Amino acid sequence: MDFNLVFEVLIALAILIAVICIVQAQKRVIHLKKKGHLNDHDLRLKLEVVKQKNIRLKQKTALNDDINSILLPRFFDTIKQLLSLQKVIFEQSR
Amino acid sequence: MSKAGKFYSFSTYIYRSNQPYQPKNRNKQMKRKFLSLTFLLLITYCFPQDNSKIIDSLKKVIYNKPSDSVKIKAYGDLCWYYRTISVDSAFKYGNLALKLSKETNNRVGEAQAYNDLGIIHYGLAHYHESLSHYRKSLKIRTALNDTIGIAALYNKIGLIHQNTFKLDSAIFYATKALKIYEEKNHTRYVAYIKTNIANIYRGLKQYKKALDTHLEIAEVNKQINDNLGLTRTYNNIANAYLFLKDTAQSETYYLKSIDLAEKHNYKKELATLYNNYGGILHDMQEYDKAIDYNTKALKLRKELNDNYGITSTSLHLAGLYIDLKDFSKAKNYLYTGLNQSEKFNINELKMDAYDKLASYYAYKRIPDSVMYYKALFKSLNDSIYSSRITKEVAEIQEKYDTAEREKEIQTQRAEIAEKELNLSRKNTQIIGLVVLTVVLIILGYLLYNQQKLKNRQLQKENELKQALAEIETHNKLQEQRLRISRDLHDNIGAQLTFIISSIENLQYGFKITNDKLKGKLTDISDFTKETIYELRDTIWAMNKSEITLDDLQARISNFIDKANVSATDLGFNVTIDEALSKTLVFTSVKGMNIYRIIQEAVNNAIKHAEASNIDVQIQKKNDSVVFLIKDDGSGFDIHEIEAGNGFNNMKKRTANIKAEIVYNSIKDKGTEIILSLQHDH
Repeated sequence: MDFNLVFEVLIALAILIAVICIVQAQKRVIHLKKKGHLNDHDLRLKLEVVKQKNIRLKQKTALNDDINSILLPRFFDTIKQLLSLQKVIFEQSR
Repeated sequence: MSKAGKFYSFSTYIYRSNQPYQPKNRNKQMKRKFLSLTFLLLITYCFPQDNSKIIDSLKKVIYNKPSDSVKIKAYGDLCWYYRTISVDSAFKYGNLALKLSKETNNRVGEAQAYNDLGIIHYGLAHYHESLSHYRKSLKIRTALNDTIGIAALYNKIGLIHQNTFKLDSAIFYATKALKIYEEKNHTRYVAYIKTNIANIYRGLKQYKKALDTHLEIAEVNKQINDNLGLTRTYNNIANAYLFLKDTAQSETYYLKSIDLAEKHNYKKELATLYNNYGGILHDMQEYDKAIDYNTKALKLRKELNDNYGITSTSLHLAGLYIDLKDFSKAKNYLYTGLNQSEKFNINELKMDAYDKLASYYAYKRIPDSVMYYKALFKSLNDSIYSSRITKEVAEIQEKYDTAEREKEIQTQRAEIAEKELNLSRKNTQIIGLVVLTVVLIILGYLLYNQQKLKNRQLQKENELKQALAEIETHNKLQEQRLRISRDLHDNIGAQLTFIISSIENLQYGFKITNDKLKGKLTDISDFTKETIYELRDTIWAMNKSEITLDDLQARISNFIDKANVSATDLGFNVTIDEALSKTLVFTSVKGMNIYRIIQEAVNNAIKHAEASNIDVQIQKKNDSVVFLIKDDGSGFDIHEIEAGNGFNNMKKRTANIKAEIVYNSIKDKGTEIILSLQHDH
């Protein structure tokens, strides 16, 4: 058996396998890039939606804070006025 | 006297093959000298016999102090032309040419000088010195790749070997020279070399072959009109016929040759021809004529300083005198011939001398001497011919060895081929391994890259997810807070509605006559309603993600409608600039703040300024949206009113939406409030 021939065949096979692996690896890289891009795009869309929602919530919170600063003092003012009315009614009845 | 004892001089060719020189100095003087020298050389070839005139001209050239290269050439030519006149002068100029060539590193001149000195030594039968000079010249010409010069030297070396009876070497060098001349197509020189080869055939006793060659050469000489060559060839043909025992033909050619030589005054050739023709006359037993021709030959040869020729002719004369039984004269010539042949180691002539001496002593009846010279003759003859036999045996041995060597070479070649094949396979394997390594490196790089890409994508994804989660958490928190707030607002709203409803029930259920009480109830009801409206406005804004100009106009109109309830004679007008886009939108916070500012301004106009007309204009100015609220109320003093709660609120809201507000108010003339807001596209 010719050792050289066996060796040469082995080298040729190894080169062939390595080349196939390179092609596969390259395919996988392309697939990964595509998938990564899609994932990234998806997440960014989601993030954008959430950010929009966050902005809207912030606006609502601002309006909420604004109305709170008006509503609560006015509510207590109304109660105060009712108490004052109650006092007048008592004084009148006496 | 045996025929083998006779020695005939054959014409052989010896020539200079001097190189044409190229003067480097281009000034006029040098050109003149060069032309004069070229002319001299031309003369030299046209009239070879007029040497003394040429020598004078060459000396004149040297006297004019030419360049080194011209001087070397002139010395060389002087050496050449002196060789037939004065050997000492020839040596002097030859050595001068050699010295100057060495000093100026003129390799061509050096080779020529060695060549010329070799020729002079050859002429003096100093074969050893001649060979040494030729070899030195050959070495230089080989280095200079001067093939014609090399061929000339091969011819001359061959002649030395021929003269020392080393015929194998002679034919070897002659063949080498012939090959070069044939390649270069030099007909004249091819004829010269063939003549020398024919002479070697003669030496090897192949007379027919030699004759055929000479006859062929004679035709060539005639074609190229070479008289000197033809003279020599006729001499050689005559000699060949002589050896083939055709005396009549031989005599005819000798006489033809002598005629030509006398006509053209070829002294050297004449000497040879006289000598040879003398030999024939000797054979024809015409002794007096033979002595006459040989004496003429000897005289000429002495004139030419031709040692070989002197020896040969002396031995011829000795033979003649032996036959004439004039032993005293014979002895003189015999010993002259013997001494000369021994001195110059000319084996051929030495043998002739021994043979003739043996004959001489036989006539003198001295057997010891006869035996002695016969023994010497035999010994020399044996040594010459045995060396030839030894050489032939050696040649056969060489041939056998060559066959063996060839076999060995074949084996080695096969081994080398196998090794080369192995080497080529190893190379292929190495290349394969290198390719595999490269491919593996590429694969490794790709896998590494793939992993790196994966990690980068994961990291990016994680970052985005984290940000998403953070914002979502924040959003959830805010939503929770908003829900709590909404619950609170709903509770307060319900309670306020209950209060309003209860007060209205009181007002309409009981006939309240007390004005103070009635007033208080109305105040509480209005205050609570206002609070409820404000809450509703805010809830309206909170339910919208953005507020358009139309929304704003509708809300303001709604507010004015309510305001009109308390001031029925109020004139209210809202104008929106057509240049403003209908798609112009504000965020709910901004829209709410604008609405509140306009609401505050209208409220102030109605409640404090008691205006009867309020005009709200929304305009576009450059990149800004301007809200102008104009009334015809009582106006106010800006310094007095500034501390009020309403103005402070307006200012605060203006700052919140990063806008500018300007108050223009004149007492009893009205108020103008301008809100400028940067237009966001």
